[in-house]
Amino acid sequence: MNMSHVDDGTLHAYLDGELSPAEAQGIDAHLAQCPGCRARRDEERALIARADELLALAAPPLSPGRGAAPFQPGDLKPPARLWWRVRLPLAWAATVALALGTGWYLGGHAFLARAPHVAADAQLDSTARELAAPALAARAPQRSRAAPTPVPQHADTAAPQPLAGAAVPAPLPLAIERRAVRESVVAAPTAGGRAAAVSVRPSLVAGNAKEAAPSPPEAVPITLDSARRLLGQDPVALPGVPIRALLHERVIGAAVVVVEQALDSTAVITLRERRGAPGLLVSDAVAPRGERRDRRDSVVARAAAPPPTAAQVVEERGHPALERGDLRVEISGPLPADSLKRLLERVRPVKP
Amino acid sequence: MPEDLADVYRTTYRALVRFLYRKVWDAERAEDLAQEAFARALVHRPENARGWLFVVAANMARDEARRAARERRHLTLLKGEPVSAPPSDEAVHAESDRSRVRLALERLSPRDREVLLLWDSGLSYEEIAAQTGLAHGAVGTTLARARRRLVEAFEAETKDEHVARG
Repeated sequence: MNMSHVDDGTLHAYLDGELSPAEAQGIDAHLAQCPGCRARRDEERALIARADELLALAAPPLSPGRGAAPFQPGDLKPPARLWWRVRLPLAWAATVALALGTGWYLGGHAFLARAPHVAADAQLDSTARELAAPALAARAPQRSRAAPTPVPQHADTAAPQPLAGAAVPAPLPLAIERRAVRESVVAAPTAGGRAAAVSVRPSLVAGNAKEAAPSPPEAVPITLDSARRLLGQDPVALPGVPIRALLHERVIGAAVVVVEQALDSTAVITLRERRGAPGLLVSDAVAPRGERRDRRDSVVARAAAPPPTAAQVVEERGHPALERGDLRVEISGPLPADSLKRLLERVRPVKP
Repeated sequence: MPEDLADVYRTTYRALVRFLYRKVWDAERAEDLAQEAFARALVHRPENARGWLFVVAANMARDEARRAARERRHLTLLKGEPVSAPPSDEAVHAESDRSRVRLALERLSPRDREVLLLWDSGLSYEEIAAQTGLAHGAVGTTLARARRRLVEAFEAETKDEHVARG
């Protein structure tokens, strides 16, 4: 077979592995008989290597400190289970998830599985597992910025990805968020706050192991009117995104309305909304990229609530929160913290 | 059916950051833009998320560069200095390899640079062709030229520097 010599474009495509098998074989055959082209192949191969080298010099430095950067393999302590690689039918997954949830708690992991959601979220597909489980993994170490963050490359070594068609993974970051919310409730100036932190967690744990209802024991579905009454104003939500659930979460010392919205079948955003204690609100005016004053310095007494349109996105221990008047809104979901903050800026009151 | 965005995120996030970094030359900004691109993808749910993300990222970086250039011009106008185009001070006084590569990249034509960066970010010839409008067969040719010019520009710079230093 006689072929004309190989032109540069084809040679690079060949070296890049971008030729079809048939085309590549043709080149191989030609190279076998053509020392000139073989020499060019070697030169171009060296050129590609050199170009790659230079480009690598101009690659972004990895910054493990940032919330969204890939975590290092050593950060995780995955349990000795290999279930996450297996895809099982949903019915199976439900029982597995419950067992996994209990097992996790008993295993002393920091993660609490909200197994109850399995029933409610049967239609979620397995990709939520991918989204949420890395978020878990990102939370495993005690980080200052513990926002649930999808992790790009190390999902294989990530914390347990329960197989459930996602139902279990999706709520996991929420369960962890709840714990963090408890912690921030402790910081709030209500006497019952600390008690709330202590008393709620055991119930979360106990409830999760046995719960079969679609909601955790302390959150009850309510109507929009009830939500309005609880908050003293319209609850806020992301406009144009369906509200999947509206719940009243019983927290000592506060009335918390939970708005769950599904961005799509794999991404559920949770807004936790509560009336701030009148007269005393944490006030950090925060620029999107972390000019954060120390919280202790910035607790101010406010005699009057600012106008309803004035809203500030603050950041407390890495959880984006919004204060609009005396409404405090926290957001959580399987997205990087910065995306969550951006979403938070878009919330609007829900009108009938 | 829309692509599995979670898989895309896992396989493409770092590549997108890499791609953006070569445009904004700020690691944190690159990560921010990448996250914003993914946030938009969650809302828009494009059919071909990977391709869409790189297009969106390129646009965002370009808009950002224009904004930055405008700001620079305003600042220099305010100072009463003549308006000059980039490169920045850092590039002019390039010391590190990173800066040299950046300079070398800037010597490429926009299309050659784009194709090279997309390839380096892990896109296939087919994806590159789709994004840049090149014919599939032209991608290899463009890459060949881009690589050659990059290496030549880098080595020319290094040589100039040595000469300048004496």
